[in-house]
Amino acid sequence: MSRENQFARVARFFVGTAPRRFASVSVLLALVSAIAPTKDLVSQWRHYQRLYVQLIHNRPDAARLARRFQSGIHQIWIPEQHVVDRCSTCHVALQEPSLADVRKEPFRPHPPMPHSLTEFGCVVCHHGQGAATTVEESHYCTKAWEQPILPARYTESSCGQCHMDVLKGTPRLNQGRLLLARFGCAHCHAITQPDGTLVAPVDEPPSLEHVAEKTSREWIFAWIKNPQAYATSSTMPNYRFNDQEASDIASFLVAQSTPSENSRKEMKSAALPSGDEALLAGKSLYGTLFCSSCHAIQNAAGNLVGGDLAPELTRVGSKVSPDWLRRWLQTPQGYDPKTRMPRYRYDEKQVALLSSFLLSKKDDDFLANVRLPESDAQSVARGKKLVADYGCTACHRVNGVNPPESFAPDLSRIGSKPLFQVGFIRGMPETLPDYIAGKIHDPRAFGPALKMPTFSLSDVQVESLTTALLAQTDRAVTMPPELVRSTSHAKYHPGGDAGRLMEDLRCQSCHTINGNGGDIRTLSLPAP
Amino acid sequence: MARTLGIPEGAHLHHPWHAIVRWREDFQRMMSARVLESRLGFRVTWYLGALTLGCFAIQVTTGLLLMLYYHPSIPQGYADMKDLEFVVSSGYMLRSLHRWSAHAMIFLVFMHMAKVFYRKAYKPPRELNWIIGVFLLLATLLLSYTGYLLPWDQLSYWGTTVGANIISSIPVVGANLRFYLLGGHTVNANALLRFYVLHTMIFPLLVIALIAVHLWRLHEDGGMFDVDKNGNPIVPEHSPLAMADAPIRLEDEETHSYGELLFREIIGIEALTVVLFVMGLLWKAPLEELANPLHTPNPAKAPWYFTGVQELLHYFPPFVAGIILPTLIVSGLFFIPFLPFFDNVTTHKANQWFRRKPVRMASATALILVLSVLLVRVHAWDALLPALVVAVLLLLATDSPSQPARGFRSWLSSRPLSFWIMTLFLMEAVVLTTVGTLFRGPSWTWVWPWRG
Repeated sequence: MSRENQFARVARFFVGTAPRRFASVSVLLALVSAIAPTKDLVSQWRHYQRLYVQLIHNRPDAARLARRFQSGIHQIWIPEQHVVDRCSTCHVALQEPSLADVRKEPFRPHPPMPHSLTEFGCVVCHHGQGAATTVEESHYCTKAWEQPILPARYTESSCGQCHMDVLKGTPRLNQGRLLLARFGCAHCHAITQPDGTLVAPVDEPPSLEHVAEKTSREWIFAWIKNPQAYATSSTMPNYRFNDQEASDIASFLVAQSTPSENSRKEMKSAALPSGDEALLAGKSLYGTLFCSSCHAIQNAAGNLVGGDLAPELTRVGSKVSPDWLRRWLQTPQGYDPKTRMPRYRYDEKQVALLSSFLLSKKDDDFLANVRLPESDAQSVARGKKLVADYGCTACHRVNGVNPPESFAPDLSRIGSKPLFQVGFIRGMPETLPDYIAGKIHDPRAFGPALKMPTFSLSDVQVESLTTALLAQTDRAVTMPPELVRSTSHAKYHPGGDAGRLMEDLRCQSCHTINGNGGDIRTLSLPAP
Repeated sequence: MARTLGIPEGAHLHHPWHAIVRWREDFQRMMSARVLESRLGFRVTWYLGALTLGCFAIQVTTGLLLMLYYHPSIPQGYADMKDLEFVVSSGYMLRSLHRWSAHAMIFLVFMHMAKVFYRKAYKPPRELNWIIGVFLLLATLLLSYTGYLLPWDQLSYWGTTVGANIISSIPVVGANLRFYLLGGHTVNANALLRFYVLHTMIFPLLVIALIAVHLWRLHEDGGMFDVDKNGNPIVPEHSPLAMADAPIRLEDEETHSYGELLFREIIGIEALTVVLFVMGLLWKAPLEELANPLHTPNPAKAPWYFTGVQELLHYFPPFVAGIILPTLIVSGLFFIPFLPFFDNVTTHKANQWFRRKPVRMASATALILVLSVLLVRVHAWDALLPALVVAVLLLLATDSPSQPARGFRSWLSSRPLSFWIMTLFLMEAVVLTTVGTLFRGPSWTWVWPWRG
């Protein structure tokens, strides 16, 4: 019998007459309607639970584990936090520390943590769609849930939603918060922390009101072009100005400069001691006066030796004018009343020796190729406009340009920023951590017209900063103050006569008193 | 006919068996209309009415089951969707069946209407049933529209918002109507509750009542629509509208098998259910993020059956696109059975709507010209396309005594004006809905769906 005839016979058998059609379609309907319930029997979470039962079967404490295991969908429900977490349906062993040797997900127990799983749930820290019971829907970004699970390297950010204090278990978050303050992010961006205070910058951008006394137009130009070429440890970002713009800004800064209090002081001895002996003496003085507690200098190997509380001095000789340096060493407050540099009451000789040592720390190549056109009124005007436009005065004090107001976006809730408000670059992974990290790493990649400059940050630093910013969620901002463990003495200043003396001597520039002040322990001298 | 049909006088009426006999008799009476056996096949009616009814049955069944899981509150309604998807066994299938059969129902209602229209089944004595059918069409749209909001996700929130804004473009009462519908000025918790009540109570009861009347009228008007060999509708003998020259059914061609038709239709409904189940397995009912009143998606689209209106709104002011045109269409549908001018039967050549070629040419050209100018003026190129197609067909349909048309042209030339109007309307509906649903991207700009 031919194939066609066979087919016709089969077709006739099933749909030959109306009753046969009815029977066939009814059977088909019954079968099709049974598919969905049957699929439920082989669902992903049932598969994982079966695997778990197999996994614990051969373990020594199998009986105990089996007793503690309940099949079915597990759920942590915390109405106050809007948490419906079904993660433990597949991650069944989260609370089984005896399975610590299991490396296979989803059966690894949760590492020890200070919070109870049932009180906090999972998504409060790890994000993702807690209500979902499939890997695809719970872990990844879908049409129904835009925030995928938080990559493990950023998990510490979740602790920072509530905790303000420095926790032992969150080194990355701690470093990120330190960097937020140190790189002066908070000069431009307002960042309200869970305890209601704003992040306070701890860097000290110098006042530029008398800058012409201190350095030259050429140095300012070269510095603006690439701050890290002058001092690798500098936190000054690179604005990627072109030569014309950098030159205009240098012209303006020099033009706006006024004489400082120091400049009106008479200098007694004009000449500085020179020669190798003087240099050696200056160097030894630099050591015995513990300048390196705060300042760092690159050694021959290129490593920074010294603290990072104050500017790096590797090439300071290429920057400062000798007169300025000597007056500064004598009375820093005469140049900048707000400086953290203590007034050490050095004598004339010490100042001269230190100066000659510091002036010898120069890099002739740094300014070798800088040839600037003559400064004119137009250049100064253009420079002033650039200084105002780019918000230089958010950090530096400049005559005639006020600090900008609400210059940069508030980052208090950046960790809860809805993705529809985010302008991703084509091709980048469309998640919030990737966006924040990308924005810190190279802001101008998000649009050449953006003003945010590029900071000189390592990948680890970018990751830490991202962690700290991801902690700035709605939850962080709405956290009841009594629940926030804050370092409430952050602004502590000693009072009375002792306080005044300490203020005058700038003790807290290096020493921490009641949680406030510099941390001289950052000093990294080479091992003897 | 007496209720005691088939039961002997004085029989034991209280015997349970007689009750069953009586039910059977009643059922046969309800389904007694006879049809020509040759008209039973799928190709004649496509069983569109029965399939629509089948969709509604699926809607009611799945809807009742969904009601067991759903709370009309924010954000619990959305959380319930998640529970249905992730926790309730086959919950996603309930949602998908409900969603896809709603879409299928709207599609089938339109098809049913077109089929009834082109078969001229709306003519007396069935004009009342036609009007009930138009009401059913509107009720189906409203039923679907009110259900669209219930998942409370981005899709439903903004789809409903667009729909409510169309309503508010009605002059004078529009803003109030919108306020009463939503229970506020925006789509909010009150709107959700109102839509829930409308969707699960008022409109279903309305549709059930209308379906009952629709079926009753169908029975009273002679059952399944039928035409004789000359193409004239067969009027049942008991109808008051039966005319003396009404064709009489030939007993030998007649089958006592309305039951058989029902049987075949049930097979069709089962097949449709199979298709819907397979669709549910292949594609889950869409669910997006929780509704966010602060985040308008671009484009914010109405449900697909309203994207045609939305497309019109893109071209015309809201009053024209949202009100005048839909009102024209709906009233046109209502009144077509009562306007013989549009609908003169073509068997009498003398009654053809315009007898002379120059007049017909002139009127058709004028109509299409006005329409084209209007559409070109607002750059409505997609709406222009059906008008031009109809214009070309009209030109093809022209004939004159000296040049009689043959074949397809002859068939076209025998079409009445109502045919042309309905064809234009259906083509516009299909084109605009397709464009609005598939070819419109952010800010309602043209996109190619395969480049999305």
